[in-house]
Amino acid sequence: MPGRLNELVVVFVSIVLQSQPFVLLGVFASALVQRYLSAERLARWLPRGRLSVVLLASGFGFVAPVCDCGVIPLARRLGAKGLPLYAATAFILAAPVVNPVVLASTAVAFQGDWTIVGLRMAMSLSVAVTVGLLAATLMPDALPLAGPGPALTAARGEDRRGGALAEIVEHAVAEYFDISLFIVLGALFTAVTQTFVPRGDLVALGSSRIGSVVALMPLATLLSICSEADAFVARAFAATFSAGALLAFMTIGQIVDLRNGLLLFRTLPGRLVALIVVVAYGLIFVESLAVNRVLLGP
Amino acid sequence: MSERTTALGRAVLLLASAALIAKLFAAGEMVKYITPALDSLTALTGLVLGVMGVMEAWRVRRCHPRRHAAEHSHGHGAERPLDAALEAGLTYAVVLLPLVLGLALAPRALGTSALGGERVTRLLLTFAPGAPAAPRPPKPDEPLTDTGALLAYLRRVADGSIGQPVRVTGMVMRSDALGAGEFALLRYAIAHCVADARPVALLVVPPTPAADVQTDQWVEIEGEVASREREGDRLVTIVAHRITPVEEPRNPYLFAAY
Repeated sequence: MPGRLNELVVVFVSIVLQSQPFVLLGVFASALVQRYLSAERLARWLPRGRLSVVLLASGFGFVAPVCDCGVIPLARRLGAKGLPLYAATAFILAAPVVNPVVLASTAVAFQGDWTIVGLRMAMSLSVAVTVGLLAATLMPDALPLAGPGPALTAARGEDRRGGALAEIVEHAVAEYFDISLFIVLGALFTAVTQTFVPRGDLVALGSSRIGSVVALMPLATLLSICSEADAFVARAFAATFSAGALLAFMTIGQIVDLRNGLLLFRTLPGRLVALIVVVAYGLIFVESLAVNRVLLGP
Repeated sequence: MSERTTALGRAVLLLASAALIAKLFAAGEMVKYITPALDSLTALTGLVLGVMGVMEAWRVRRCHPRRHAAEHSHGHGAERPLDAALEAGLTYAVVLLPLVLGLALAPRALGTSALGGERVTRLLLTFAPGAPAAPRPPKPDEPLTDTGALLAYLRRVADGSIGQPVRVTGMVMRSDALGAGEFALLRYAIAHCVADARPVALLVVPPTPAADVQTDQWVEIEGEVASREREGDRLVTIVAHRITPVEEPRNPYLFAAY
Protein backbone atom coordinates (compact mmCIF):
# COMPACT_ATOMS: atom_id res chain seq x y z
CA MET A 1 0.00 0.00 0.00
CA PRO A 2 1.24 3.55 -0.66
CA GLY A 3 2.22 5.47 2.49
CA ARG A 4 -0.85 7.69 2.67
CA LEU A 5 -3.27 4.81 2.09
CA ASN A 6 -1.50 2.68 4.70
CA GLU A 7 -1.71 5.59 7.13
CA LEU A 8 -5.41 6.08 6.45
CA VAL A 9 -6.20 2.39 6.96
CA VAL A 10 -4.03 1.98 10.06
CA VAL A 11 -5.41 5.09 11.77
CA PHE A 12 -8.99 4.17 10.85
CA VAL A 13 -8.77 0.58 12.09
CA SER A 14 -6.86 1.62 15.22
CA ILE A 15 -9.50 4.18 16.21
CA VAL A 16 -12.25 1.60 15.75
CA LEU A 17 -10.34 -1.04 17.71
CA GLN A 18 -9.34 1.33 20.46
CA SER A 19 -12.87 2.60 20.93
CA GLN A 20 -14.36 -0.87 21.34
CA PRO A 21 -13.66 -1.44 25.06
CA PHE A 22 -15.10 1.95 25.89
CA VAL A 23 -18.14 1.45 23.66
CA LEU A 24 -18.77 -1.88 25.36
CA LEU A 25 -18.44 -0.25 28.77
CA GLY A 26 -21.05 2.29 27.74
CA VAL A 27 -23.53 -0.14 26.23
CA PHE A 28 -23.32 -2.53 29.18
CA ALA A 29 -23.72 0.37 31.62
CA SER A 30 -26.78 1.34 29.60
CA ALA A 31 -28.10 -2.23 29.74
CA LEU A 32 -27.61 -2.37 33.50
CA VAL A 33 -29.48 0.91 33.91
CA GLN A 34 -32.23 -0.45 31.69
CA ARG A 35 -32.47 -3.63 33.71
CA TYR A 36 -32.06 -2.39 37.26
CA LEU A 37 -32.83 1.33 37.53
CA SER A 38 -36.49 2.26 37.53
CA ALA A 39 -37.76 5.67 36.52
CA GLU A 40 -39.34 6.04 39.94
CA ARG A 41 -36.07 5.40 41.73
CA LEU A 42 -34.20 7.87 39.50
CA ALA A 43 -36.90 10.49 40.19
CA ARG A 44 -36.45 9.96 43.93
CA TRP A 45 -32.68 10.37 43.64
CA LEU A 46 -32.73 13.55 41.56
CA PRO A 47 -32.61 16.74 43.62
CA ARG A 48 -35.07 19.57 43.18
CA GLY A 49 -33.95 22.57 41.14
CA ARG A 50 -32.20 22.71 37.80
CA LEU A 51 -28.87 23.90 39.13
CA SER A 52 -28.65 20.99 41.56
CA VAL A 53 -29.57 18.49 38.84
CA VAL A 54 -27.02 19.94 36.42
CA LEU A 55 -24.26 19.93 39.03
CA LEU A 56 -25.07 16.36 40.01
CA ALA A 57 -25.12 15.21 36.38
CA SER A 58 -21.85 17.02 35.63
CA GLY A 59 -20.11 15.33 38.53
CA PHE A 60 -21.62 11.90 37.85
CA GLY A 61 -18.57 10.95 35.77
CA PHE A 62 -16.60 10.53 39.00
CA VAL A 63 -18.66 7.46 39.82
CA ALA A 64 -19.57 6.38 36.27
CA PRO A 65 -16.24 6.62 34.46
CA VAL A 66 -17.16 6.41 30.79
CA CYS A 67 -15.23 8.15 28.04
CA ASP A 68 -16.66 9.95 25.03
CA CYS A 69 -17.23 6.65 23.19
CA GLY A 70 -19.38 5.17 25.93
CA VAL A 71 -21.11 8.16 27.44
CA ILE A 72 -23.90 8.45 24.85
CA PRO A 73 -25.56 5.05 25.44
CA LEU A 74 -25.52 5.56 29.19
CA ALA A 75 -26.86 9.12 28.91
CA ARG A 76 -29.60 7.97 26.56
CA ARG A 77 -30.69 5.26 28.92
CA LEU A 78 -30.71 7.64 31.88
CA GLY A 79 -32.75 10.00 29.70
CA ALA A 80 -35.21 7.24 28.91
CA LYS A 81 -35.58 6.68 32.66
CA GLY A 82 -36.48 10.33 33.19
CA LEU A 83 -33.23 12.27 33.48
CA PRO A 84 -34.01 15.66 31.91
CA LEU A 85 -32.37 16.43 28.57
CA TYR A 86 -30.39 19.34 29.97
CA ALA A 87 -28.94 17.16 32.73
CA ALA A 88 -28.14 14.32 30.32
CA THR A 89 -26.37 16.87 28.12
CA ALA A 90 -24.30 18.13 31.04
CA PHE A 91 -23.35 14.52 31.79
CA ILE A 92 -22.37 13.88 28.15
CA LEU A 93 -20.12 16.96 28.14
CA ALA A 94 -18.45 16.46 31.52
CA ALA A 95 -18.06 12.71 31.94
CA PRO A 96 -15.35 12.11 29.29
CA VAL A 97 -12.99 14.33 31.30
CA VAL A 98 -14.41 14.44 34.82
CA ASN A 99 -13.58 10.88 35.66
CA PRO A 100 -10.75 9.32 37.65
CA VAL A 101 -9.12 7.50 34.73
CA VAL A 102 -8.77 10.59 32.56
CA LEU A 103 -7.62 12.83 35.39
CA ALA A 104 -4.99 10.26 36.36
CA SER A 105 -3.74 9.97 32.76
CA THR A 106 -3.52 13.77 32.57
CA ALA A 107 -1.48 13.82 35.77
CA VAL A 108 0.87 11.16 34.38
CA ALA A 109 1.28 12.97 31.06
CA PHE A 110 2.05 16.27 32.78
CA GLN A 111 4.31 14.63 35.35
CA GLY A 112 2.13 15.38 38.37
CA ASP A 113 1.26 18.97 37.48
CA TRP A 114 -2.01 19.15 39.44
CA THR A 115 -2.62 22.72 38.30
CA ILE A 116 -3.10 21.44 34.76
CA VAL A 117 -5.27 18.56 36.00
CA GLY A 118 -7.45 20.86 38.09
CA LEU A 119 -7.79 23.46 35.35
CA ARG A 120 -8.72 20.81 32.81
CA MET A 121 -11.45 19.50 35.06
CA ALA A 122 -12.69 22.99 35.92
CA MET A 123 -12.88 24.05 32.27
CA SER A 124 -14.81 20.91 31.30
CA LEU A 125 -17.21 21.38 34.19
CA SER A 126 -17.73 25.04 33.32
CA VAL A 127 -18.84 24.13 29.80
CA ALA A 128 -21.08 21.28 31.03
CA VAL A 129 -22.77 23.41 33.68
CA THR A 130 -23.18 26.42 31.40
CA VAL A 131 -24.66 24.38 28.55
CA GLY A 132 -26.85 22.44 30.99
CA LEU A 133 -28.31 25.59 32.53
CA LEU A 134 -28.75 27.30 29.16
CA ALA A 135 -30.51 24.20 27.77
CA ALA A 136 -32.77 24.10 30.84
CA THR A 137 -33.70 27.73 30.26
CA LEU A 138 -33.87 27.87 26.48
CA MET A 139 -35.27 24.42 25.74
CA PRO A 140 -37.34 23.35 28.72
CA ASP A 141 -39.77 21.47 26.50
CA ALA A 142 -37.14 19.44 24.64
CA LEU A 143 -37.85 15.75 24.58
CA PRO A 144 -35.69 13.43 26.65
CA LEU A 145 -33.01 11.39 24.94
CA ALA A 146 -34.12 8.15 23.36
CA GLY A 147 -32.18 5.15 22.24
CA PRO A 148 -33.11 1.89 20.63
CA GLY A 149 -35.53 1.45 23.46
CA PRO A 150 -36.28 -1.41 25.76
CA ALA A 151 -36.33 -3.49 22.65
CA LEU A 152 -36.18 -6.50 24.21
CA THR A 153 -37.86 -9.66 24.63
CA ALA A 154 -38.77 -9.05 28.25
CA ALA A 155 -40.98 -6.25 26.96
CA ARG A 156 -42.49 -8.61 24.44
CA GLY A 157 -43.48 -11.11 27.04
CA GLU A 158 -41.57 -13.88 25.29
CA ASP A 159 -40.40 -16.96 27.03
CA ARG A 160 -36.79 -16.11 27.88
CA ARG A 161 -33.97 -18.46 28.45
CA GLY A 162 -30.90 -17.14 30.17
CA GLY A 163 -32.79 -14.66 32.33
CA ALA A 164 -31.23 -11.36 33.30
CA LEU A 165 -27.88 -12.01 31.61
CA ALA A 166 -29.49 -12.72 28.25
CA GLU A 167 -31.62 -9.61 28.57
CA ILE A 168 -28.62 -7.44 29.46
CA VAL A 169 -26.56 -8.79 26.57
CA GLU A 170 -29.48 -8.41 24.18
CA HIS A 171 -29.91 -4.79 25.17
CA ALA A 172 -26.16 -4.17 24.97
CA VAL A 173 -26.10 -5.62 21.43
CA ALA A 174 -29.00 -3.38 20.38
CA GLU A 175 -27.24 -0.31 21.80
CA TYR A 176 -23.93 -1.35 20.25
CA PHE A 177 -25.36 -1.47 16.75
CA ASP A 178 -27.39 1.67 17.28
CA ILE A 179 -24.21 3.72 17.81
CA SER A 180 -21.67 1.71 15.80
CA LEU A 181 -22.60 3.34 12.49
CA PHE A 182 -21.66 6.72 13.92
CA ILE A 183 -18.58 5.53 15.80
CA VAL A 184 -17.15 3.93 12.65
CA LEU A 185 -18.08 6.84 10.37
CA GLY A 186 -16.55 9.24 12.90
CA ALA A 187 -13.40 7.13 12.94
CA LEU A 188 -13.27 7.24 9.15
CA PHE A 189 -13.67 11.03 9.04
CA THR A 190 -11.00 11.42 11.71
CA ALA A 191 -8.60 9.15 9.85
CA VAL A 192 -9.17 11.03 6.59
CA THR A 193 -8.57 14.33 8.39
CA GLN A 194 -5.44 13.11 10.13
CA THR A 195 -4.10 11.78 6.86
CA PHE A 196 -4.88 14.60 4.49
CA VAL A 197 -5.19 17.86 6.48
CA PRO A 198 -1.73 19.50 6.76
CA ARG A 199 -1.72 20.12 10.50
CA GLY A 200 1.84 21.43 10.25
CA ASP A 201 0.40 24.65 8.81
CA LEU A 202 -2.02 24.91 11.72
CA VAL A 203 0.70 24.28 14.27
CA ALA A 204 2.86 26.95 12.66
CA LEU A 205 0.22 29.55 13.59
CA GLY A 206 0.61 28.91 17.25
CA SER A 207 3.53 31.09 18.30
CA SER A 208 1.50 33.75 20.14
CA ARG A 209 -0.69 33.31 23.22
CA ILE A 210 -3.89 33.98 21.31
CA GLY A 211 -2.69 32.31 18.13
CA SER A 212 -1.74 29.16 19.99
CA VAL A 213 -5.27 28.83 21.39
CA VAL A 214 -6.79 29.58 17.99
CA ALA A 215 -4.56 26.94 16.40
CA LEU A 216 -5.00 24.12 18.89
CA MET A 217 -8.78 24.24 19.33
CA PRO A 218 -9.71 23.27 15.75
CA LEU A 219 -6.79 20.86 15.72
CA ALA A 220 -8.30 19.04 18.71
CA THR A 221 -11.67 18.90 16.95
CA LEU A 222 -10.07 17.45 13.84
CA LEU A 223 -7.78 14.95 15.55
CA SER A 224 -10.54 13.61 17.86
CA ILE A 225 -8.14 11.87 20.21
CA CYS A 226 -9.72 9.93 23.04
CA SER A 227 -9.79 11.50 26.47
CA GLU A 228 -7.41 9.00 28.06
CA ALA A 229 -4.71 9.72 25.48
CA ASP A 230 -5.03 13.36 24.50
CA ALA A 231 -2.98 14.64 27.44
CA PHE A 232 0.07 12.80 26.08
CA VAL A 233 -0.35 14.50 22.71
CA ALA A 234 -0.89 17.85 24.41
CA ARG A 235 2.29 17.43 26.38
CA ALA A 236 4.17 16.90 23.14
CA PHE A 237 3.03 20.41 22.17
CA ALA A 238 4.19 21.88 25.48
CA ALA A 239 7.46 23.23 24.13
CA THR A 240 5.66 25.19 21.41
CA PHE A 241 2.31 26.23 22.84
CA SER A 242 1.07 28.10 25.91
CA ALA A 243 -0.51 26.34 28.88
CA GLY A 244 -3.87 27.87 28.01
CA ALA A 245 -3.64 26.44 24.50
CA LEU A 246 -2.85 22.97 25.83
CA LEU A 247 -5.86 23.15 28.16
CA ALA A 248 -8.04 24.36 25.30
CA PHE A 249 -6.82 21.40 23.22
CA MET A 250 -7.65 18.89 25.96
CA THR A 251 -11.03 20.43 26.76
CA ILE A 252 -12.57 21.20 23.38
CA GLY A 253 -11.35 17.91 21.92
CA GLN A 254 -13.67 15.98 24.23
CA ILE A 255 -16.69 18.18 23.58
CA VAL A 256 -16.61 19.11 19.88
CA ASP A 257 -14.84 16.44 17.86
CA LEU A 258 -15.30 14.75 14.53
CA ARG A 259 -15.31 11.22 15.90
CA ASN A 260 -18.34 11.65 18.12
CA GLY A 261 -19.91 14.65 16.43
CA LEU A 262 -22.15 12.48 14.27
CA LEU A 263 -23.35 10.59 17.31
CA LEU A 264 -24.06 13.86 19.09
CA PHE A 265 -26.20 15.00 16.15
CA ARG A 266 -27.96 11.66 16.18
CA THR A 267 -28.68 11.90 19.91
CA LEU A 268 -29.42 15.57 20.63
CA PRO A 269 -31.64 18.14 18.91
CA GLY A 270 -29.75 20.15 16.28
CA ARG A 271 -30.21 23.46 18.11
CA LEU A 272 -28.77 21.95 21.28
CA VAL A 273 -25.72 20.71 19.36
CA ALA A 274 -25.31 24.22 17.94
CA LEU A 275 -25.55 25.64 21.47
CA ILE A 276 -22.85 23.21 22.64
CA VAL A 277 -20.49 24.17 19.82
CA VAL A 278 -20.95 27.93 20.34
CA VAL A 279 -20.72 27.85 24.14
CA ALA A 280 -17.84 25.39 24.23
CA TYR A 281 -15.70 27.24 21.69
CA GLY A 282 -16.47 30.65 23.20
CA LEU A 283 -16.06 29.73 26.84
CA ILE A 284 -12.95 27.63 26.40
CA PHE A 285 -11.32 30.32 24.27
CA VAL A 286 -11.92 32.98 26.94
CA GLU A 287 -10.86 30.68 29.79
CA SER A 288 -7.68 29.69 27.96
CA LEU A 289 -6.69 33.32 27.47
CA ALA A 290 -7.40 33.95 31.15
CA VAL A 291 -5.21 30.98 32.09
CA ASN A 292 -2.40 32.34 29.93
CA ARG A 293 -2.73 35.73 31.56
CA VAL A 294 -2.65 34.32 35.10
CA LEU A 295 0.08 31.72 34.56
CA LEU A 296 2.29 33.69 32.17
CA GLY A 297 1.59 37.25 33.33
CA PRO A 298 0.11 40.20 31.41
CA MET B 1 -35.65 -6.59 7.55
CA SER B 2 -36.87 -9.47 9.70
CA GLU B 3 -35.85 -9.82 13.29
CA ARG B 4 -34.10 -13.07 12.47
CA THR B 5 -32.08 -11.48 9.65
CA THR B 6 -31.15 -8.59 11.94
CA ALA B 7 -29.99 -10.91 14.69
CA LEU B 8 -28.06 -13.03 12.20
CA GLY B 9 -26.29 -9.98 10.74
CA ARG B 10 -25.40 -8.74 14.19
CA ALA B 11 -24.09 -12.14 15.24
CA VAL B 12 -21.86 -12.37 12.17
CA LEU B 13 -20.44 -8.88 12.71
CA LEU B 14 -19.80 -9.44 16.41
CA LEU B 15 -18.06 -12.73 15.72
CA ALA B 16 -16.05 -11.11 12.90
CA SER B 17 -14.98 -8.37 15.32
CA ALA B 18 -13.78 -10.99 17.78
CA ALA B 19 -12.05 -12.82 14.93
CA LEU B 20 -10.25 -9.63 13.87
CA ILE B 21 -8.86 -9.11 17.37
CA ALA B 22 -7.78 -12.76 17.54
CA LYS B 23 -6.13 -12.54 14.11
CA LEU B 24 -4.22 -9.37 15.00
CA PHE B 25 -2.86 -10.95 18.16
CA ALA B 26 -2.02 -14.21 16.41
CA ALA B 27 -0.23 -12.43 13.56
CA GLY B 28 1.62 -10.06 15.90
CA GLU B 29 -0.07 -7.13 14.16
CA MET B 30 -1.89 -5.63 17.14
CA VAL B 31 1.19 -3.54 18.00
CA LYS B 32 0.75 -1.79 14.65
CA TYR B 33 -2.55 -0.39 15.91
CA ILE B 34 -2.61 -0.26 19.72
CA THR B 35 0.02 -0.05 22.43
CA PRO B 36 0.89 -3.40 24.06
CA ALA B 37 -0.01 -1.79 27.40
CA LEU B 38 -3.65 -2.24 26.39
CA ASP B 39 -3.31 -5.88 25.26
CA SER B 40 -5.23 -7.27 28.22
CA LEU B 41 -8.10 -4.84 27.72
CA THR B 42 -8.17 -5.51 23.98
CA ALA B 43 -8.15 -9.28 24.49
CA LEU B 44 -10.99 -8.97 27.00
CA THR B 45 -12.88 -6.86 24.47
CA GLY B 46 -12.48 -9.59 21.86
CA LEU B 47 -13.76 -12.15 24.33
CA VAL B 48 -16.81 -10.05 25.21
CA LEU B 49 -17.57 -9.40 21.54
CA GLY B 50 -17.31 -13.13 20.89
CA VAL B 51 -19.69 -13.95 23.72
CA MET B 52 -22.13 -11.31 22.49
CA GLY B 53 -21.90 -12.82 19.00
CA VAL B 54 -22.57 -16.33 20.27
CA MET B 55 -25.54 -15.17 22.34
CA GLU B 56 -26.93 -13.22 19.38
CA ALA B 57 -26.52 -16.29 17.18
CA TRP B 58 -28.32 -18.35 19.79
CA ARG B 59 -31.13 -15.77 19.75
CA VAL B 60 -31.52 -16.25 15.99
CA ARG B 61 -33.14 -19.62 16.66
CA ARG B 62 -35.85 -18.02 18.78
CA CYS B 63 -36.68 -15.13 16.45
CA HIS B 64 -39.79 -15.24 14.37
CA PRO B 65 -38.63 -15.39 10.73
CA ARG B 66 -41.19 -12.89 9.44
CA ARG B 67 -41.43 -10.42 12.28
CA HIS B 68 -39.76 -7.08 11.53
CA ALA B 69 -37.09 -5.89 13.94
CA ALA B 70 -38.42 -2.34 13.62
CA GLU B 71 -41.73 -3.39 15.19
CA HIS B 72 -39.86 -3.69 18.44
CA SER B 73 -37.47 -0.81 18.15
CA HIS B 74 -38.24 2.53 19.76
CA GLY B 75 -35.49 4.33 17.92
CA HIS B 76 -35.04 7.72 16.36
CA GLY B 77 -37.27 7.85 13.43
CA ALA B 78 -36.36 4.58 11.82
CA GLU B 79 -39.71 3.07 12.80
CA ARG B 80 -40.85 2.41 9.23
CA PRO B 81 -39.66 -1.00 8.10
CA LEU B 82 -38.02 0.37 4.93
CA ASP B 83 -36.14 3.07 6.84
CA ALA B 84 -35.12 0.57 9.47
CA ALA B 85 -33.91 -1.85 6.82
CA LEU B 86 -31.90 0.87 5.08
CA GLU B 87 -30.34 2.02 8.31
CA ALA B 88 -29.55 -1.53 9.37
CA GLY B 89 -28.01 -2.27 5.98
CA LEU B 90 -25.94 0.89 6.10
CA THR B 91 -24.82 0.11 9.65
CA TYR B 92 -23.74 -3.39 8.72
CA ALA B 93 -21.87 -2.19 5.63
CA VAL B 94 -20.04 0.53 7.56
CA VAL B 95 -19.20 -1.73 10.50
CA LEU B 96 -17.94 -4.35 8.06
CA LEU B 97 -15.45 -1.93 6.48
CA PRO B 98 -12.80 -1.84 9.27
CA LEU B 99 -13.27 -5.56 9.81
CA VAL B 100 -12.49 -6.35 6.17
CA LEU B 101 -9.54 -3.96 6.12
CA GLY B 102 -8.14 -5.34 9.36
CA LEU B 103 -8.58 -8.94 8.33
CA ALA B 104 -7.35 -8.60 4.76
CA LEU B 105 -4.46 -6.17 4.93
CA ALA B 106 -1.06 -6.37 6.55
CA PRO B 107 -0.47 -3.03 8.27
CA ARG B 108 2.83 -1.15 8.21
CA ALA B 109 4.04 1.41 10.72
CA LEU B 110 3.29 5.07 10.12
CA GLY B 111 5.88 6.67 7.88
CA THR B 112 7.02 10.21 7.21
CA SER B 113 3.80 10.94 5.32
CA ALA B 114 1.99 10.83 8.68
CA LEU B 115 3.75 13.99 9.82
CA GLY B 116 0.99 16.08 8.30
CA GLY B 117 3.37 18.70 6.95
CA GLU B 118 5.22 19.37 10.21
CA ARG B 119 8.75 20.54 9.44
CA VAL B 120 11.56 18.27 10.50
CA THR B 121 13.39 21.15 12.16
CA ARG B 122 10.47 21.51 14.60
CA LEU B 123 10.59 17.84 15.49
CA LEU B 124 14.28 17.41 16.26
CA LEU B 125 15.00 16.73 19.90
CA THR B 126 16.99 19.48 21.65
CA PHE B 127 18.88 19.74 24.89
CA ALA B 128 17.17 22.11 27.31
CA PRO B 129 18.64 25.61 27.02
CA GLY B 130 21.13 26.34 29.74
CA ALA B 131 21.01 22.80 31.09
CA PRO B 132 22.35 22.77 34.64
CA ALA B 133 25.73 21.23 35.19
CA ALA B 134 24.35 18.65 37.59
CA PRO B 135 26.52 15.73 38.69
CA ARG B 136 26.52 13.32 35.79
CA PRO B 137 26.01 9.63 36.36
CA PRO B 138 28.69 7.38 34.97
CA LYS B 139 28.10 6.37 31.38
CA PRO B 140 27.07 2.78 30.86
CA ASP B 141 29.92 0.62 29.64
CA GLU B 142 27.77 -0.92 26.96
CA PRO B 143 25.97 1.13 24.30
CA LEU B 144 22.30 1.85 24.87
CA THR B 145 20.69 -0.50 22.39
CA ASP B 146 17.10 0.63 22.46
CA THR B 147 15.74 3.93 21.17
CA GLY B 148 13.26 4.17 24.03
CA ALA B 149 16.02 3.58 26.57
CA LEU B 150 18.11 6.30 24.93
CA LEU B 151 15.25 8.79 25.11
CA ALA B 152 14.65 7.94 28.78
CA TYR B 153 18.39 8.35 29.41
CA LEU B 154 18.37 11.74 27.66
CA ARG B 155 15.49 12.88 29.84
CA ARG B 156 17.41 11.86 32.92
CA VAL B 157 20.89 13.21 32.22
CA ALA B 158 20.33 15.70 29.34
CA ASP B 159 23.73 16.80 27.97
CA GLY B 160 25.43 14.46 30.41
CA SER B 161 24.75 11.90 27.72
CA ILE B 162 27.23 13.41 25.27
CA GLY B 163 29.74 10.77 24.27
CA GLN B 164 27.40 7.93 25.22
CA PRO B 165 27.68 5.00 22.77
CA VAL B 166 24.28 4.10 21.31
CA ARG B 167 22.66 1.68 18.91
CA VAL B 168 19.30 3.06 17.83
CA THR B 169 16.66 2.13 15.29
CA GLY B 170 14.26 4.31 13.38
CA MET B 171 13.09 5.61 10.03
CA VAL B 172 15.16 7.87 7.81
CA MET B 173 13.71 11.28 7.11
CA ARG B 174 15.53 13.44 4.58
CA SER B 175 15.02 17.20 4.38
CA ASP B 176 16.57 20.15 2.59
CA ALA B 177 16.51 21.98 5.93
CA LEU B 178 19.26 19.70 7.24
CA GLY B 179 22.97 19.81 6.45
CA ALA B 180 24.61 17.90 3.63
CA GLY B 181 24.29 14.18 4.17
CA GLU B 182 22.44 14.63 7.46
CA PHE B 183 19.04 13.11 8.09
CA ALA B 184 16.57 12.76 10.94
CA LEU B 185 15.94 9.43 12.63
CA LEU B 186 12.20 9.30 13.15
CA ARG B 187 10.09 7.29 15.58
CA TYR B 188 6.49 7.69 16.69
CA ALA B 189 5.39 7.50 20.31
CA ILE B 190 1.83 6.42 21.07
CA ALA B 191 -0.21 6.54 24.25
CA HIS B 192 -3.13 4.33 23.18
CA CYS B 193 -3.30 3.88 19.43
CA VAL B 194 -1.64 5.24 16.30
CA ALA B 195 -4.27 7.98 16.06
CA ASP B 196 -2.49 9.73 18.93
CA ALA B 197 1.02 9.12 17.54
CA ARG B 198 3.53 11.91 18.07
CA PRO B 199 6.84 12.04 16.19
CA VAL B 200 10.23 12.04 17.91
CA ALA B 201 13.27 12.81 15.75
CA LEU B 202 17.01 12.76 16.32
CA LEU B 203 19.54 14.47 14.06
CA VAL B 204 21.97 11.99 12.53
CA VAL B 205 25.39 12.93 11.17
CA PRO B 206 26.39 10.02 8.95
CA PRO B 207 29.89 8.64 8.53
CA THR B 208 31.88 9.44 5.43
CA PRO B 209 31.06 8.49 2.77
CA ALA B 210 27.40 9.21 3.46
CA ALA B 211 25.15 6.17 3.62
CA ASP B 212 22.74 5.77 0.74
CA VAL B 213 19.49 5.39 2.63
CA GLN B 214 16.15 6.73 1.48
CA THR B 215 13.31 8.37 3.34
CA ASP B 216 11.12 5.85 5.22
CA GLN B 217 13.87 3.21 5.20
CA TRP B 218 14.30 1.62 8.64
CA VAL B 219 17.92 1.69 9.77
CA GLU B 220 20.00 0.72 12.76
CA ILE B 221 22.63 3.28 13.69
CA GLU B 222 25.68 2.66 15.81
CA GLY B 223 27.34 5.82 17.04
CA GLU B 224 27.49 8.20 19.96
CA VAL B 225 25.50 11.08 21.36
CA ALA B 226 26.71 14.56 20.47
CA SER B 227 25.37 18.09 20.23
CA ARG B 228 25.05 20.44 17.22
CA GLU B 229 24.14 24.12 17.36
CA ARG B 230 21.37 25.19 14.95
CA GLU B 231 19.58 28.53 15.06
CA GLY B 232 20.16 28.91 18.78
CA ASP B 233 19.13 25.35 19.65
CA ARG B 234 21.42 22.57 20.81
CA LEU B 235 20.21 19.55 18.90
CA VAL B 236 20.59 16.07 20.29
CA THR B 237 22.71 14.45 17.62
CA ILE B 238 23.82 10.93 16.85
CA VAL B 239 27.24 10.88 15.21
CA ALA B 240 26.95 7.64 13.29
CA HIS B 241 29.82 5.19 12.88
CA ARG B 242 27.73 2.65 11.01
CA ILE B 243 24.31 2.71 9.38
CA THR B 244 22.63 -0.57 8.53
CA PRO B 245 19.27 -0.94 6.74
CA VAL B 246 16.98 -3.23 8.73
CA GLU B 247 13.44 -4.55 8.57
CA GLU B 248 10.64 -2.69 10.33
CA PRO B 249 10.69 -3.88 13.96
CA ARG B 250 7.88 -5.97 15.38
CA ASN B 251 6.78 -3.08 17.57
CA PRO B 252 7.64 0.09 15.67
CA TYR B 253 6.23 2.51 18.25
CA LEU B 254 7.56 3.97 21.46
CA PHE B 255 5.50 4.47 24.58
CA ALA B 256 4.26 8.06 24.83
CA ALA B 257 5.93 8.66 28.19
CA TYR B 258 9.08 9.36 26.16
